[in-house]
Amino acid sequence: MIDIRTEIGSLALNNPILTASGTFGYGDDLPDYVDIKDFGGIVTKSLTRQPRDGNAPPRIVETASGMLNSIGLANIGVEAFIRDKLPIIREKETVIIVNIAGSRLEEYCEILELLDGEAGIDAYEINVSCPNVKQGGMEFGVSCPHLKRLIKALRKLTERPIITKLSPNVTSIEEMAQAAVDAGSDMLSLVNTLVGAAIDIENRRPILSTIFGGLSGPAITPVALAQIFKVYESVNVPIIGIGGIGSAEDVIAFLMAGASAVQIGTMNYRDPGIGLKLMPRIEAWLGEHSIERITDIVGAAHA
Amino acid sequence: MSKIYLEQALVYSNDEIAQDIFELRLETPAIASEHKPGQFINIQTNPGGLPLWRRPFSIARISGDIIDIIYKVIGTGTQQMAALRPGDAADIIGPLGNSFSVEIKSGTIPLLIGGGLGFAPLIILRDYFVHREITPVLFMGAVTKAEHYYLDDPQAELMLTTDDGTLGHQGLVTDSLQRYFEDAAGHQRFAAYSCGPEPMLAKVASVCRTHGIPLELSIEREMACGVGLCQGCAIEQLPPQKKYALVCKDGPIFNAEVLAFTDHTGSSND
Repeated sequence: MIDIRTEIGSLALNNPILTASGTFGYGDDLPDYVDIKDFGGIVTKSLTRQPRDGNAPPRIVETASGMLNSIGLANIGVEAFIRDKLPIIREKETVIIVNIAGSRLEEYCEILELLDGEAGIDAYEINVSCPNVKQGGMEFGVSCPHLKRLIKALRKLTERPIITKLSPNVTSIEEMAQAAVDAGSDMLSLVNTLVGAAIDIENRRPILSTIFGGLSGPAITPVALAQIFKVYESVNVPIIGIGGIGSAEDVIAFLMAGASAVQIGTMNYRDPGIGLKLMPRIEAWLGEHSIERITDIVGAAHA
Repeated sequence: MSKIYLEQALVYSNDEIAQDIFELRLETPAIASEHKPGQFINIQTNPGGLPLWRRPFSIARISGDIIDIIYKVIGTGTQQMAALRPGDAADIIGPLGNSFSVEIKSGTIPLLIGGGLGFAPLIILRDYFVHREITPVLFMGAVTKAEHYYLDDPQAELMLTTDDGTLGHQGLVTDSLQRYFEDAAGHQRFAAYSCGPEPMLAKVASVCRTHGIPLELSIEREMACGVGLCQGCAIEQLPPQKKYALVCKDGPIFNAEVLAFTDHTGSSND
């Protein structure tokens, strides 16, 4: 019997597979063949203080082994989430992580305060790295002092675990990781999307209405593995790995690089049940290698 | 909303029916029985491999347990589809999206206006009406004869056009629609349904608006997921509707009057 349970900080997960923010809605409105209770946990779409329509289309482009998106944080807003979505998903037997995004420090704080009065939320993931909104947000993800100030402010407002979602679009992700941890972040999730662009050569124009978007999918897996590897060696908090995961081997590689859990994002689009299909294969692999607990391979790639 | 299935459907046949245009027939009892006219499926053309996204196609016909989709070979995904052989499995999700409004008052004549591949979702609508002994009028346009795949219909009125005049009337499908209204002046009620390139749809919307005819459009968009998760397939709507609808979930069928690109006030041209 292989133990596939894991822990990220104070959160106990039935398995290490979470859904990535923005790829699974609010967890309430999924195709019939997906059951969220089978995931270790779900991360909601980013919530902002007010509802957002998102960016003008085109918002997505398929690229080599990946895709670009510039959805622009289209979401129903924190109040509608609390009123319409939370009562449904808090009934599900899985870990619920609510993702928060803002353009100003005060906005992040207001959102978190509203959520913190509500039952059924297990942790917050702080989106400081969305490349797709014109106004702010991103500076928190690329500047250590800004990030520190934000996480410190949020830390004062809640007892619940805070997960800082780091941007790969930085010179030193270790410094950003350290800043977040120093400010009180309990965990880190990485990486968010890489800034990218695609050009329509017939029209001689960028394809995305916003010119730049976030690159995700298997194309960014090696980048994610490198950054997780670095962060694992530089800070001592649990890491949630993200970056184009689509196979059991990918999950195992992310754990070996130093992640305690993973999020599946872009690959949900092709197959919203993919996370569930991976667990039996991961268990089989562990069995073949006589590994009793999945946590035994976390960081195994480090000398 | 109908139940959504993730299925390994058996390929029944996969034949070229016009130049680079294929008809793929798949055995899928669940989707066949659950579907409504106008819905689509999303097919993984290379399971586990690339391209990354599934490809969405309207269901063009249902016969028993078999659904038909019609596709043109354009890129990698459709090349992979063209390689499917009878007996192979196709990984599909469906039925997806909303459906056409098919309840029409007695005496209403359905007008089905399609451009190129955009005729596919109208075929199933044609079947729906014909089975209920309602005779639709079909307007079918293509660039050239070789691209026409719906050439004959003994149970409906069929008007073919080509841009180059190699088949039917030379000109645009909207010219043929305009002529039809001129000939049918003062005639009874119509309900129009259309699918095709967006400039064509905007023109169809303008002609129908002039004649006071309700029009539904089947909209095509690139989709990363097809089930509302990625929010990528946004289309702009006119107030008082929410600014962006998702083609996969709120559509693919829209009342022409809610979409910004058909707006006759000229405030937006997406």
